[in-house]
Amino acid sequence: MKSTHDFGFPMQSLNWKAWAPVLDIAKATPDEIKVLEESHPKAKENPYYLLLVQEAEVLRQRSKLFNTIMYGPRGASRAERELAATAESRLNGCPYCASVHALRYVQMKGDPDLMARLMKDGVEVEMPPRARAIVDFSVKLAATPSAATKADVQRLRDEGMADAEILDIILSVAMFANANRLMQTLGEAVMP
Amino acid sequence: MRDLIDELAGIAPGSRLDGLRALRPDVRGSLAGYEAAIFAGASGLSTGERHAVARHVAELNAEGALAAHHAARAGDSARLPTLLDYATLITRTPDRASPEAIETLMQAGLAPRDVVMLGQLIAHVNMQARLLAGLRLLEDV
Repeated sequence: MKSTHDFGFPMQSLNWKAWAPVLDIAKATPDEIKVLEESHPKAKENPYYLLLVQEAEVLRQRSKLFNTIMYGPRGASRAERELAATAESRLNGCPYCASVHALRYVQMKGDPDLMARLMKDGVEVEMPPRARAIVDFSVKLAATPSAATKADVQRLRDEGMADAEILDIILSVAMFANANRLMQTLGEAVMP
Repeated sequence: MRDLIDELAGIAPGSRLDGLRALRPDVRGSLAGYEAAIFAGASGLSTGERHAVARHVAELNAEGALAAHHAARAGDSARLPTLLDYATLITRTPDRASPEAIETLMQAGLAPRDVVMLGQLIAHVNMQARLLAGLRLLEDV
C-alpha cells in the first residue's frame, strides 16, 4: 500500500502539487490577496496557499496562529520549536513539511549533523539528552496524545526547560499535528 | 481572553496554567478566531456536518470533553459517513492520504473549497487534542 513516507526525506527545498483545484491568482479578490500576503512571503506563487485561500478567513486565522507559535518572541528557542516540528513531520510522513523545517532548524543554529541523520534514518537516531527528551516527548504527543506522560515532561524540566518553554514545544507539536494533516493529505511533495 | 481550550481543560482565571497561557496571548486570540472561522463561517458543509466530523475526530483522539462540546450541535446527512471515513483516514493514518480519497469527497458533492474546509476542520481538532493533552501534563509543578 502506498504511503507518503515513500517519497523519502531529502534535506532540500521541495515543490508541492495540489490534489484539488487551486485558486487562479488572476481571479483573486483583494481580500484573498491580502490573506495570501499575511500568510507567507511567497504564498501568491505557492499552490498550497492558493488551495487553502479558497477558505480565506480560515487561512487568515490559521496563519496568525502558525506565525505566533513558530516565530513568537521569548520562550523555547526557535531551533527547539523547529526540532519538535520536524520530528513530528518525519514521524507522520510529510516530506515537504520536514524539509522546510529541517532547513529552518539548521538556519536557527541547530545541529546540522543531527538533523541530517534524523531526516535520513528517522526519529530514533542518537542525539544529545536535551534533544532526545524533546523528540521523545514530541513524537509521543504527535502519535497518540494520551501516550505522552508527566515523566516525559519531567525529563524536559530536568534538562533545564522552564514550563513556559515546554508549553511552546506542546504548541509546536499541536500546530504540526495540524500542518502535516493539511500538507500531506491535500497534495504531495515533488522534486523541483 | 479565555478560549474553548481553557473552558474544556478547566483552566481557572489566575491559575498556574492560566498564567502560562497568558504568556502567549496571540495564541488564545488566533485559536478562537480559527475556531470561529471553521464552525461559524458560510460553507458548503452544513453546520451539523462540521460539528459531527469534529465530534468524531475528538473521539478518535479520546478527548471526551471536546467530543461532548460538538455532540450537541452535530447533525446528520446522507454523505456524513463519507466525511467521517475521510476524517478517520486523515486523523489515524495521514500517510495513507491519496488523490483518490479527495476524489471520493468531490463525488459526494464537495466543492474544492469544501474539501479545504473539511481538511482544516480535521487538522484543527487534531491540533486541539494535542494542546489539551499537553496542558494536562503541565498541571502539576
